Amino acid sequence: MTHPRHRLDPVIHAPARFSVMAALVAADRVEFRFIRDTVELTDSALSQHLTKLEQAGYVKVTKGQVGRRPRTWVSATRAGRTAFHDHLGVLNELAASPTGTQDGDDGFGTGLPGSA
Amino acid sequence: MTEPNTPDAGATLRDAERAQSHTRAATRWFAGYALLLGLAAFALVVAVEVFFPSGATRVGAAAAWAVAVVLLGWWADSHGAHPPRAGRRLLVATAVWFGAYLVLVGPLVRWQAGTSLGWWAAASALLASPFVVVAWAGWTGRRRS
Repeated sequence: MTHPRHRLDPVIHAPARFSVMAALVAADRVEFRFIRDTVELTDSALSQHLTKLEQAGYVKVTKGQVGRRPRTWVSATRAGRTAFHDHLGVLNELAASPTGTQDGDDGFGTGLPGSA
Repeated sequence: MTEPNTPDAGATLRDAERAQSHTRAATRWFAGYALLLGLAAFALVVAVEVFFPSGATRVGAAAAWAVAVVLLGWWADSHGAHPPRAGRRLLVATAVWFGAYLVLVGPLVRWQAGTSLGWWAAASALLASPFVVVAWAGWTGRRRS
């Protein structure tokens, strides 16, 4: 059990959820529609992903109103930020390994905060 | 759920990187917001100390400032992404601005310079500097990260 993949977090391993977390850790709070458009998901798909992340304690969802428009805000919890950075470290490890990528070093691993 | 394989790692990282860059770019408005709050703070102090030092107009100036702050807050809330620690930083800047005005700079300048525009303009600029620091921190933090 020494291969890095065993340390991947199953909750945020799904690419869409990982991208959602990446968007969330870059901000204090992000609006639902903004995440939907950024990660290119449908409303229902994003809702399902957020439910899973919320159940794991990785995100906090709050509903509010700006004028007459209802708005849903999403923020990453401390546990979510830790889980994201841990997961990111493992992914960077996998991407940097000699047989890790198809096209070699893509340089993207260092761009995200917490990257190893 | 499929088990991850290594070729996926690079693609996943690229997608996440794109999502993160997009979110960071969407927090660009915050530096301008902090500067506008600083400008409103500057204008309020100059207004109530130089142009309307007493009477109902003083209260009117404070009310105009409050309306401006509420409208700016509304505008801030209309943005899809808020930068990390934004609220906390603004709260500290506001507390420093108001506390310094109330306890130290306000009484001192009032005692030494009365309603001198030059003195109050300089004092107000100094008092509003925490907002500039917050704007600068937001701007450089976004570029650095």
